[in-house]
Amino acid sequence: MLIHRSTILIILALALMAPFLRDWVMTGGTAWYRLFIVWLFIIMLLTWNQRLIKRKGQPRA
Amino acid sequence: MLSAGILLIIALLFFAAWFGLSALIDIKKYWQDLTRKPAAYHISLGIVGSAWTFFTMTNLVQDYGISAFSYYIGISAVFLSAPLLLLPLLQLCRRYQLTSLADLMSFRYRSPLAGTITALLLIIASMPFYALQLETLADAANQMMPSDNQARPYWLTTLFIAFCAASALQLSTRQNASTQRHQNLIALIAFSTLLKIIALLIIGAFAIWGVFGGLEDLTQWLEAHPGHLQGFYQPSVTPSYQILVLIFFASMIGMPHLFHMTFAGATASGRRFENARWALPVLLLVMSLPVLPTLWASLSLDPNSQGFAAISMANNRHAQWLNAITFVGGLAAAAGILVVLNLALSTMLVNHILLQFAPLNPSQNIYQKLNMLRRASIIAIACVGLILFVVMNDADKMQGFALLSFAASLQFLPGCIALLYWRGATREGFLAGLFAGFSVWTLFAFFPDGVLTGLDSKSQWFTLKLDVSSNIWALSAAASLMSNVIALLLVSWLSNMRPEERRVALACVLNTTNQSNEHRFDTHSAADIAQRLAPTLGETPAKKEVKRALHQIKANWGHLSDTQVSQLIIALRINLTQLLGPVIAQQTLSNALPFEDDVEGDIVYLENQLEAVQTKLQGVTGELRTMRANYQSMLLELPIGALTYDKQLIISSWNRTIADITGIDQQHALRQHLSSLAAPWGALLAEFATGTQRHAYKRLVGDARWINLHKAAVERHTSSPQDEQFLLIEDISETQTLEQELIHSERLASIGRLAAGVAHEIGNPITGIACLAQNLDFDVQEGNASDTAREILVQTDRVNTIVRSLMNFAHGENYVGNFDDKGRADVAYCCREASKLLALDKEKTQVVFELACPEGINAAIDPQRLIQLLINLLSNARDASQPEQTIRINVLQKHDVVQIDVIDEGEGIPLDQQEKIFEPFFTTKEPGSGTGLGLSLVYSIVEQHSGTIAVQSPTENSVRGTRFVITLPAASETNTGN
Repeated sequence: MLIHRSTILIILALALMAPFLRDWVMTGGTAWYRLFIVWLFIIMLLTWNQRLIKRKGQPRA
Repeated sequence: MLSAGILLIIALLFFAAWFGLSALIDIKKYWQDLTRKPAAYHISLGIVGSAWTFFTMTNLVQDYGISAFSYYIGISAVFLSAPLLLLPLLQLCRRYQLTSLADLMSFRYRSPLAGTITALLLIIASMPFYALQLETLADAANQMMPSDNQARPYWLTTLFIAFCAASALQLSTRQNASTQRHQNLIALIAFSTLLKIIALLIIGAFAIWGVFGGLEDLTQWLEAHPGHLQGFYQPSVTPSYQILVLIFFASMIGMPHLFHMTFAGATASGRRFENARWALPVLLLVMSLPVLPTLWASLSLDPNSQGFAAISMANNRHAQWLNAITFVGGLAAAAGILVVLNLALSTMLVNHILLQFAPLNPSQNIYQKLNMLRRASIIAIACVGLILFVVMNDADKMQGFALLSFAASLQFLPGCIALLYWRGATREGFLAGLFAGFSVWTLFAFFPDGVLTGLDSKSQWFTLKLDVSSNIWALSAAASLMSNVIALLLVSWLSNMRPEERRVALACVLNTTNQSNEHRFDTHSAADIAQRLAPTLGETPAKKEVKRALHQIKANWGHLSDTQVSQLIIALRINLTQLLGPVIAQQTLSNALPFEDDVEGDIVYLENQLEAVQTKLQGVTGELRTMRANYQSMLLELPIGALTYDKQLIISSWNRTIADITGIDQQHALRQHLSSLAAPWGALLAEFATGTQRHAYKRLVGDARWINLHKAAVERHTSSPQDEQFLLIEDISETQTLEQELIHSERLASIGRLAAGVAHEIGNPITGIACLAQNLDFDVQEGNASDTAREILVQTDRVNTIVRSLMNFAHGENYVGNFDDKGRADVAYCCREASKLLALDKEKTQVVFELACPEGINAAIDPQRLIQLLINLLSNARDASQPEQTIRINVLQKHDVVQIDVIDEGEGIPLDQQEKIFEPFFTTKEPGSGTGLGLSLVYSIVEQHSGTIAVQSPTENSVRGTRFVITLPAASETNTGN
């Protein structure tokens, strides 16, 4: 199966960042919506990645 | 509180809207177009939000805090990482028309048993989830009704399940095409998702602004009640968050309703999946947003509130309209889930269980039998769901079992990943993995502290613990998954893979087609194919299916080409897969139409496989692949037509140039016999291929195409060499035209030189004869001798005219104009001059010259030469015209070209003479009245000035007349020598 390199990199980066993001969400206090901000950020990041791949046709891993 | 009557009315209105929408989509094009929009499919994926999550998400957050969102996050994760799992699976499902996980497993592992076991496990695992939807809806209705009426509303659940079964029956057994059925389903599920989301947003908005008075007030309330925030971030029960996310990640593939909507929906509707990657996570985000405000609003109104937070909040605020909206949202969520679950489970039940144990009988009407089986399955599933709901009678227990359903789906994850990424996985390995996984899970379940903790003496059911925070729960999930993976790996390594399985495994891993349309079958008759299918399907259904497939590939009964047979088989496979599932469809086709050769020997198949590998190859292998790809690309883009064929004259490659030359595209040429190509190519190429000559030059094909043919044998360095020939087609039509033009010019030039010589040699004696004749006339003065002398003078004058013409022609041939010195010709002036000169000769036919020439057009030609050219053309036109007819001279400038049209209304020039009129001494005039050099002179003048001349006769929209079109280069601004 062929997966674009950038997608793998982003997923790996998110997996590495997961503990930090989790800490940021968990220390939100009254900012309970932090979880949704992270959620939205990940959606936007991967959508941007999808558009980038579509536009440039990056090399595959 | 809402009374039972109001709830009934709401439910009936909802049912009416559901069926009304379905009917509208069937009959109104506008609604059909609306359902075809990609957004409809994206919204329909919101089915992941079930009635359970709709009502109990707030309770789950209260119990498990932030971890409760793991359901939505797990599913969002699988969509956001779609290239890893969903997209490749979707491509496979689309290619092979697979609609369920059982289809996928039986297809990949080439095992009806794998499909049957998968179907059985999924049906068993899904039923508690099915019953849970009913339980949640009943509990919600109970909470909405007055407290004096707390009996379980069986009337509502029975009515509701009857509605869902009716809707599933309507969708599954209707006669229209599968695509249309799925479009209807997509539209209905999108409708239910929209209702659900709107209801959730209204509930959330009411919680924030109706209960708290705004976001700031909510924040203040949270600051005043830090315990609720702590409950969210650090709940008393801490579940294994990672395991939950993993389970819900796997549920996207393992839960039949999610698989059905994601893959079957996208497959049938042919919609693009890319945008669903972000659309569903956004939908889930929107559905999650109101959860926390709703929970906190409910707790702020009643810290000890029981039941569903949204209903509790509405009851406390006496907002019955909100309860009604909540009920509609819950109905929509439950209806979507149950209808799709019913369809998905019944399809698996029929295709993978019932038809495996009760095969089709060709003497029966298979359509009727299938419809009957589907109806019975839908009704049976609905009944089992209802019975489970009635018997279990415990929301917590059902919730626990539903969670088990999700956990069961985890056991299919290794098989799915192996399907896409490991071609060594075997049927035995997959089944062993499933067995090991489920066995370990069951063992853990019966441990003293496991999920199931002994028989409850009261209810005679195992007491089920939904303590997802317990170590044993997480451990059991992890251990069962690990044992599944280990068994899959070990048994696969130890077992032998069958050739057929190996081929499909490779196709799945590379994500290419394994059943290319390149197989050769031993039949070319549609009637024969129908006859072969008849023993399995029955005579009439076999004919009907073949007829339908023929219609799809736009072919008729009778003889079919190799390509048409392959296309027909593909269409049949798709149709039969939709009808009977992939296992029986494959068996039916394999029995009826065995392939002649194995697919791995198929060069086109191998090409596909190699192409799919692409950059996976590295090092020397990668370089070899690149080299091979380069050679292939060179062959494909070669400016000479190239094809290869084997000893049976079957074409194995066909490049683009040959497609351009012949007008036959690659798709219609590959795998065809050379002689079966369209005329005239088939006969020509087959004759050359079978002949002994290796080269054939200047073959005329059709009216105007000239080609050279070459062929050579391709030496193959393989253990089983095949005689393969390479044939090149060189299109030399343009070269041929240029060659003919050159020959024509050469002939004109040689005539010109001859004319000059003749004129020079004749001129002197003629001058002498004329002088002598004048002397004789002067000496004699009168009598016959004088008359003879005068006649000699007339004849010598005539000879002089011819000689002058010859000299003019000869000078014209050798004339080299220097336009910078000679300047430019005012075309309008030259046209006027030429027509004036001709008008002076009163003895000739009197015609009307009509000039249409804008002033200021200048051509890069010497004015005298242009006048000479025009006089020749106009005098010819005058000679061909009748008195008082009009000769039109139209001049126009197009960019850098001046075009002069001379149009007469004469008889015209016959077509066979049009090619010769520019040749010297060719004339259609009577002997003595024309030299045949006028148009030759015109031609040479035009050519010397880099212009063109063309003749058209008859003229446009007429049956007579002649039009000469002359183009000359326009004079540039620097051409101002005068």
